[in-house]
Amino acid sequence: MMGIKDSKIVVKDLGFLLMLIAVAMMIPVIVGLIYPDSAGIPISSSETIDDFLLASALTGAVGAACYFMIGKVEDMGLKHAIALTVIFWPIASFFSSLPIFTSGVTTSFVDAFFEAVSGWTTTGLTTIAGGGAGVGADLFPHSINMWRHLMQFMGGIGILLISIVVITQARTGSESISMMTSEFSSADRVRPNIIGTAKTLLYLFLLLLFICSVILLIAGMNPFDAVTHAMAGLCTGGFSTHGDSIAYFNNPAIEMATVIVMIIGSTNFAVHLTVFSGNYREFFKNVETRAFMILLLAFTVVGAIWLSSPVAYGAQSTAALENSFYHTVSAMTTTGWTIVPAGVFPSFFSPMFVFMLTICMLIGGSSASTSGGIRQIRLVLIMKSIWWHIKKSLMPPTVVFPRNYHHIVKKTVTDSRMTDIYLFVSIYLLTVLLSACVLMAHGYSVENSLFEPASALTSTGMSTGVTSFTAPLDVKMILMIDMWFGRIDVIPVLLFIASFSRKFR
Amino acid sequence: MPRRPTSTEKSLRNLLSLVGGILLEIVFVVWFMVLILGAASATLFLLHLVS
Repeated sequence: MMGIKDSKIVVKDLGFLLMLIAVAMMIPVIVGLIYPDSAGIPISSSETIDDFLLASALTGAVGAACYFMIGKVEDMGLKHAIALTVIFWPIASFFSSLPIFTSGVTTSFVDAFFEAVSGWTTTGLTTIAGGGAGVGADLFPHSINMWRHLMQFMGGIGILLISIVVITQARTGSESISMMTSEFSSADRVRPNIIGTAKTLLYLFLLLLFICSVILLIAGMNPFDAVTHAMAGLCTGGFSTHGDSIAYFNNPAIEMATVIVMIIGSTNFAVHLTVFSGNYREFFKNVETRAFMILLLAFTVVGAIWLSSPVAYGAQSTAALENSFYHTVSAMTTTGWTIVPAGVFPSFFSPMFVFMLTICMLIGGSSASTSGGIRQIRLVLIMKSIWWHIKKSLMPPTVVFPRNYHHIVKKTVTDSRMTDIYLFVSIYLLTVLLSACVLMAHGYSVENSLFEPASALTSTGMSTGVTSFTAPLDVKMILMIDMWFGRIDVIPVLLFIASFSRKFR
Repeated sequence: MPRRPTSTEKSLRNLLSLVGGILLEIVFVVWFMVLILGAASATLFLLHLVS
């Protein structure tokens, strides 16, 4: 059970993280100085500088108070790591929403908070920045757009660092807890040294950010769009500086460049580092990259057939293939960018295609990446376990067969791990169904009611139009809860709530 | 006796190998995209012929 002593440990670490956010708020200030005014934008970046300075001062003051007013505390344990993981996202979102609200880009604090939750959880759903060409993010000052994308970048790095560093720092962490966050079990650890791991990840992210920005720049984006989209894509976030997302550019080179960024962002970071250390074959041998290739091919073909059939809407084969491929990649990597204009999305795609994208989102990307969803490793192990079960049932009871798979090294699956996976998937799907009930109660169609919570829970951010400024408050609330639950893989929230119970003393 | 590389040389070498690794991975991803789009196009073409 969490006591005062435990709370002090969590609050002290939270204070440190808030101070880091306060420092990060200086980046939009610098952007505001570089891009003071833009033609046709109602609020200029220079007008938002004081909003960011004020928000930074407040966040920094609260953070410093939490950090310095609490004296020396014990080392962080597993329950503190879980508590910090659970409370960090809503608190970071609250402070991050302040400059969005005070800048005046929205008159509703709920929408500003929604935007910040969507940013920190790397989701990409938006009630204020979408809507089409010439509205939404198109009318935001550069500083606000930079802050939106910066939240996704920090949220992406944050979830990786928390899952790898904090959970492994909690030395009592069981295999099941590590798995619940991102499958980054001991064999995957980038380096045994925790600080070294954190530094390696940070350098790697910054280097990838630079290279991805250059790719997008070459493809035809302007420097600001290239950097912001590289941030959002690399962290599989899905925010855009345009109300029409990637459809705004209407450029096949940019579409393909963003596909590269999305795939790199959703690849397991242990695979990245194995490839970078010279073991190039791992990219093709890894169970998750193989699963991704097979699933992407299968869903692209099925989607293209549906889109090109006269029953759906009879798109031309090339357009059907382009749309199917792009949206399958976007959904499976849980990024959420689209190449169809906002507002057209629901009428452009058949309900069957929308449902297929829901399945893609639920599967999600690789473990130990910034993607959300059930994750490919869990899906592969469930599929394999079905096969192992059939094999076991048909073979004589004395026959023992290995239950192995290749992920960096050869691994063996234990029964307890499979139980964890089934438990996780059950809770995950139950959360989607319960959230869908709330949306259906508001009269949304079944496919839209499943699509939107799946998009929020898997931190994807695609929308069929349900998420908007005019959406009912309880729908916005349920989507925010889904984003929060989904980003930290649901179970830590349940553990955190249970830790307050007297039953677990 | 060969000269020991300085820390700057070591960092530079690490950075270059990392950049090389990232570029190589991008090549893999592009190849993988071409492969998937090719296979998907071929499947669609075959389906079109059959129907």
